[in-house]
Amino acid sequence: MLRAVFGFELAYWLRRPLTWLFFATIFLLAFWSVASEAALKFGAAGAIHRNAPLVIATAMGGLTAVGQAITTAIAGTAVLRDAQVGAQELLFTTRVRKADYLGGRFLGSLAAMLVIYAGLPLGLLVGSLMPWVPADALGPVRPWHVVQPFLVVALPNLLFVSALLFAVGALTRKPLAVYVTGTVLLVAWQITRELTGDLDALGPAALSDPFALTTIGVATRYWSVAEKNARVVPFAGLLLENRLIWLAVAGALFALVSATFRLRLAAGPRPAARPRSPDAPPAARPEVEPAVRHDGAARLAMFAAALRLHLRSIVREAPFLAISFICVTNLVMASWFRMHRVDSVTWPVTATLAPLVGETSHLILVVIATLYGGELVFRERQLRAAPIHDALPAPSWVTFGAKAAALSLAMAALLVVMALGAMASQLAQGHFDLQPWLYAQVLGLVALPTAVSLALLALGVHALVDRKFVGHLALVAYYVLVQVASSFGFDHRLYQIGVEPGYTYSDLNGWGPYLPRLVTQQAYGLSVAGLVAVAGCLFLARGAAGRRGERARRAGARLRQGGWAAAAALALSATAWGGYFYYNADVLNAFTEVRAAERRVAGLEREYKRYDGLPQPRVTGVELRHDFFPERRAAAWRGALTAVNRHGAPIDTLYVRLPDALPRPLDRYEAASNTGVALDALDFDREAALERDDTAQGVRIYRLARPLAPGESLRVNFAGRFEPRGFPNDAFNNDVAENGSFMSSNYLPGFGYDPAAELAGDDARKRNGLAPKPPMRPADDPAGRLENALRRGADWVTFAATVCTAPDQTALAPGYLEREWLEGGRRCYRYATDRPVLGSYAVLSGRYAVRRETHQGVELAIYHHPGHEFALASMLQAARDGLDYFGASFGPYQFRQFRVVEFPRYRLFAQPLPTTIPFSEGIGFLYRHDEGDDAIDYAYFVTAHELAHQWWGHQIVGADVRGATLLSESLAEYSALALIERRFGPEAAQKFLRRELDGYLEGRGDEARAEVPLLAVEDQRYIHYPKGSLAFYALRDYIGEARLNGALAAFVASWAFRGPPYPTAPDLYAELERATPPEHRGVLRDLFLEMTFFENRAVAAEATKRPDGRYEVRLTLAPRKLRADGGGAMTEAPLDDLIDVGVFGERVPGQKLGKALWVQKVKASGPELEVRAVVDEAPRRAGIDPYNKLIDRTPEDNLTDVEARD
Amino acid sequence: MELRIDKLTKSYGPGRRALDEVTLRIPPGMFGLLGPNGAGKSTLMRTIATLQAPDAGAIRLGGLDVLARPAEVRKLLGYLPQEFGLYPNLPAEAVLDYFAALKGVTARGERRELVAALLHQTNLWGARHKAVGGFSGGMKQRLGIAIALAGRPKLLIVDEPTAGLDPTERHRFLNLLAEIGEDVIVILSTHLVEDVRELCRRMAILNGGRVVLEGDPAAVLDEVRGRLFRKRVRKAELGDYRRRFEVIATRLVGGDPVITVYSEAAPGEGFVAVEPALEDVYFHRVGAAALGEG
Repeated sequence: MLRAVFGFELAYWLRRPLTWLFFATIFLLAFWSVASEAALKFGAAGAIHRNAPLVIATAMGGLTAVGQAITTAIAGTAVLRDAQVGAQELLFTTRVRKADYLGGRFLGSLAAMLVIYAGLPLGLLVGSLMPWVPADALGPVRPWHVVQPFLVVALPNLLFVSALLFAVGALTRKPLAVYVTGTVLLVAWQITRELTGDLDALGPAALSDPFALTTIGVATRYWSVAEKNARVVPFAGLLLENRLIWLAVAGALFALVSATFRLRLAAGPRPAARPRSPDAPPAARPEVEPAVRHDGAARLAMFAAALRLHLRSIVREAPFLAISFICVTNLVMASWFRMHRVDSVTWPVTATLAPLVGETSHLILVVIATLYGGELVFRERQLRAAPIHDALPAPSWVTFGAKAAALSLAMAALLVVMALGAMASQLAQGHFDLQPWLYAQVLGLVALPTAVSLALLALGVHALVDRKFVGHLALVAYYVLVQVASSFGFDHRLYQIGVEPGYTYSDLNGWGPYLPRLVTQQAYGLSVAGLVAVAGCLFLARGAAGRRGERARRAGARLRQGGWAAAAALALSATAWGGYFYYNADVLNAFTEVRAAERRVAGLEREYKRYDGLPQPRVTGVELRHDFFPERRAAAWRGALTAVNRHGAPIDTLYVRLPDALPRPLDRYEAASNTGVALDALDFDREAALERDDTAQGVRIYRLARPLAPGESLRVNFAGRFEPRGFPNDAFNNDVAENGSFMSSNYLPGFGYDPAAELAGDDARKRNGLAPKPPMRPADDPAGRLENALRRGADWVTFAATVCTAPDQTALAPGYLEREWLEGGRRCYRYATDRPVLGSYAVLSGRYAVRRETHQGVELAIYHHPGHEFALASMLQAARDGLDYFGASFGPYQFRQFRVVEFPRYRLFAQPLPTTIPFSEGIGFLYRHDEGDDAIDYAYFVTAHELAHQWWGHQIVGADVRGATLLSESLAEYSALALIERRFGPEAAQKFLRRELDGYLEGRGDEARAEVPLLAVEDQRYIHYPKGSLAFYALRDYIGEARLNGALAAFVASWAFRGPPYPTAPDLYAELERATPPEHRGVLRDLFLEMTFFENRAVAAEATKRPDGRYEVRLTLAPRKLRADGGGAMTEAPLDDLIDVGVFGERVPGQKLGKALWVQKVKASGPELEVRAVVDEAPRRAGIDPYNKLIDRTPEDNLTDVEARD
Repeated sequence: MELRIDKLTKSYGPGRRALDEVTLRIPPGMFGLLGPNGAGKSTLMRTIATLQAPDAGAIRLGGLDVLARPAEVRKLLGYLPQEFGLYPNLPAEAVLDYFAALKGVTARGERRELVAALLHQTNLWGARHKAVGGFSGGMKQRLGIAIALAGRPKLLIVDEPTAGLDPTERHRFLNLLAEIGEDVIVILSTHLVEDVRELCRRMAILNGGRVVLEGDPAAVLDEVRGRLFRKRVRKAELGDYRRRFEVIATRLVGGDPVITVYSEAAPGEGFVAVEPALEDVYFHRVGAAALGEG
């Protein structure tokens, strides 16, 4: 019997086209992930093969998780179907036994799922055989690499999801319950994935992911590229546990169904009690003769009645309540995680949380609109109320409109509840400035219009398509297409209806320039979606399905009856708003698809690369007059550059670099249009013929009538301006804001071709026929040593600027304020430096409040947005501590002032300029650190890091060669870490280092080329920040703070304010080597010249209590040292190292380790290490490298519990 | 006002003719439409109720062209389909209120009164807060007629309303229909002859998409009066009788067939004359049509 039911079920699915449609979808997704470069990728990037076993496992996890729609349709309906088609009575009265029925149905649908998902390995396999796939993107094709993940990942996933949805379908016999369960599972899954943000919660996160994606991620977190390409994820440890847990859950679910399912009809609502006197004669017909009306007011009343009915049917039912609950939970969790990063806490200001409401709800709104759109359109037909309903005098547009309004209102209610949840979350986190009006604005301008567009679109499409499943498919296809198209560079907002509009809200600048675009885009989207809804309403089925042509005829009739007015009004509105958008984005701002912008930049490189290395004069002086016009987001500048010929030969050709006036790709999805940037004047103090004018591309080439002799200076006068026009489709240029302008030195002309402006990203370069970017020049490259890493073509310059702005704003530039005055109603400031600074500067303007104080004769000032006082104390503390410690350790601070200036959150960074640190609203000013917090005080840390750059970047300027960022970023990171340890203690430093270790180990797994040792770092963030601080911290531990800081001070003394030629990493290394005693030279080499890894492990620890009350601890340890090559392949390295060994006592609150009883450096020179220690108190934990000073991929096995022996 | 149906034709694909040049005149009052399953009754009802377009023919309600101006017709229409569902999670009162509003009873106070009156009238007042999903067949049918009656329809179409009801419920329902004003055209389709006999002043029999008889139930009986004869026979003889007589009905009484035959003259052979019932007319006509087609 089981076999019969199973066979029937499987045969049923194999006969349905739907099954093969699903199969094709999965096959193609898998196929394209290997065969195409632009398609969905599952972690394949750079050097990681598209068919690497890890990529395949991730694809299996991802596609089975996202493929829930498939499971819903198949396993979810296995039992449900009989209820829907009314076959239950017939089936349940046959001799089929419950176990056979359930088992057969379940296994049959599971088999169908397996058939569909067989498309996954097949697609991967066929994709990897395609001739056009570049050989270097693929690894060898090995069946086991596909079979193992299928068995370990895909199969258990499918079992679990199928069991869950099968159970829900069987027990509720309601399709909506199955859909909602699927959605809820996906959202809950997203939430558990957020847990990976917390390093201490990796284990629980790995176990709680039913699709094992997090598990795979955690298990392979520190794998190198080589390992990712060669190893299958071992079926052991967390992965094994995870699979067992979820298989058990699946089994339990099936057992639950078996226990509670009855071969009976689902119980309907309880039958009504019989009327009290059933046989009483009906009452005489009362004289009620209400007026029947069909005028405009009556239509309104009909609309209201229908609206009430449908709204009630949506929001009062369990599925919607469940979705709302999940949405609010998701929001509160997201707001919590957003505010509580592993190492930092942020204040939950409304400017952050209100957008989060839209962000976290968007996907759910898409789902709600699609699902409920279908439910509403087909509601009467599903309930079989259509014959009554369709014969009513109420016009279709009234009831259809009421459905649209009901769906919109339900979503609005959800959004309002989410906003209230966000406010509650703010209150719970102790933030009381709720700004409800800002919530209202975000909902009204962003989330709500998007939701209404989605509702109109869904209802319209469902009514047009007139088959629920096909309607769902069409809508999902549309949403996916819009997403996919934008990853191919087709991202004009005019064809993105129901997509979240892009915007950034800033406390400083409010809605800023985004408001007009937002309004236009939303009005346009609503008009288009409204038009689709009107079309749907015209074609809405009413009465029995007629002959072919019948629908069109009826639609024509409805159009004539007044539909034309609505259609015309909406078409007009769509045209008007769309036209306005087009005028702004395409006419005023020359919208360019990202790919076209890439081609433009590639063209620049092809044309002008040959000028790279052409001897050019070097800038030595800048005199600038800069005018901000914040009220119209404009700026104008003019000034003079002084440049000198430092070469041995005369210069007759000038290559002048101008700011971009044509689009430039920002990333894969967006291009900056750069419209509105103009050069007004460029002339020289001698005759120069303009040989080539390519101002649009940002290049001018002049021939000097009289060549510039060696040592001779040249003066260049320039004038330019920025006048933005309208709004662009993509990224705004927010360098000038109504409040919070921040313009960099890139707007000024410069000399020489700059490779930094070349097209970035090997993929993009390949697309445009360009070779991958060559590696940086080696440290001993003579030309490289003459160029600094900060600004091409400029050396130490004298800088003076007059900056004018609106009278209520403060304008800032690096240097000391010399004068402040009013000029024609505008406020002007004169700044000048009293010593040459490095050629990177910026001008800022805003309405700031200022907090000032003086420390050691240095004026400290923080220019901030009123209301953003949260982190000021931490920043000032960091400045004071830094001036003290850095000044004492590395050499004196070179300026009399230190300023931090806030700018809007359009960009997220802090930039060290001489004397002045522009610091983003989004990262610095909202950091939170309460007394006794165990999280790191991030405002303190970032300020310390940027202050350290006044030494490492503005005193020491590295040459533009390999290792340059070691001299700036690594040293700044280490300096800030040292400051943290002094202020907050070693525990805080430990926490910080643990994060740094994670950042380094994870980062190297995504290396696109080859990993390099610290001394040869190019611009890899995962090396210069985290590995830099780890290396310097470890070195300090070995040789002592005095020696290390002494070496750094000596380095500063010999190289500060020097160049060209500029110092390089080997210069620093020489200084470090001098300071390192011979016994630690090996460590120094391991840290800076090699990629060294330890796999230290504590094997056992035993303690014996001695007669004198002390304890003797015997430790068995297994130290191991490995070296990696650029691809991550490991080789054993001889061990001859001093490594920390420690014994710890009772736990101390707030500390990870217990009280340190005995910590010493012990020489390890073989694979086994026995250590004896005598301690005063009862030992609890003991092990090797307890503070994780060494780079170790499994730091958690360094310690073990101490066993007591008598 | 009168409903005139003129040569109404509708086929579902070749050879499946549901209505075949149906022509009927239906005056105000109760009109019974009889016919076996598949006779085309529901198609005719749906077509009059503006839910289906015919292939050919015309329907006029007074001066109104039903097929050209469905929206106008719906303002005068009350329709109770043969099979229907309602919003199962809502109470009867809310459902009725909703439909009343969509029928144009838009003043809230008046609507509330109307809903109360209809609930009383259909004896559902006691169940007004109950979810409709829990209603019995009869209760649902009564709620359906309450919906159909809301908004004072001039044309009321009820399609097989008593099918599946127990005798008590059926009576209660028919009583409801009997209450309806004289000036309303009520078309009651049914395959139960008694329904028509008890209620209707005019009737028609539809078979195979054609009108096989139209008239006054009383007058219709005259057609067979004096020509019906009954006899108890043995099973083995049944075939023989069928060949020799027009047997319009066979019923088993105590295991033996009792046959009713139609005959212009008294057949003798132990047949006794019987007083005709409407049912006999129905069987006579439907059977004749079947023979005629065969």
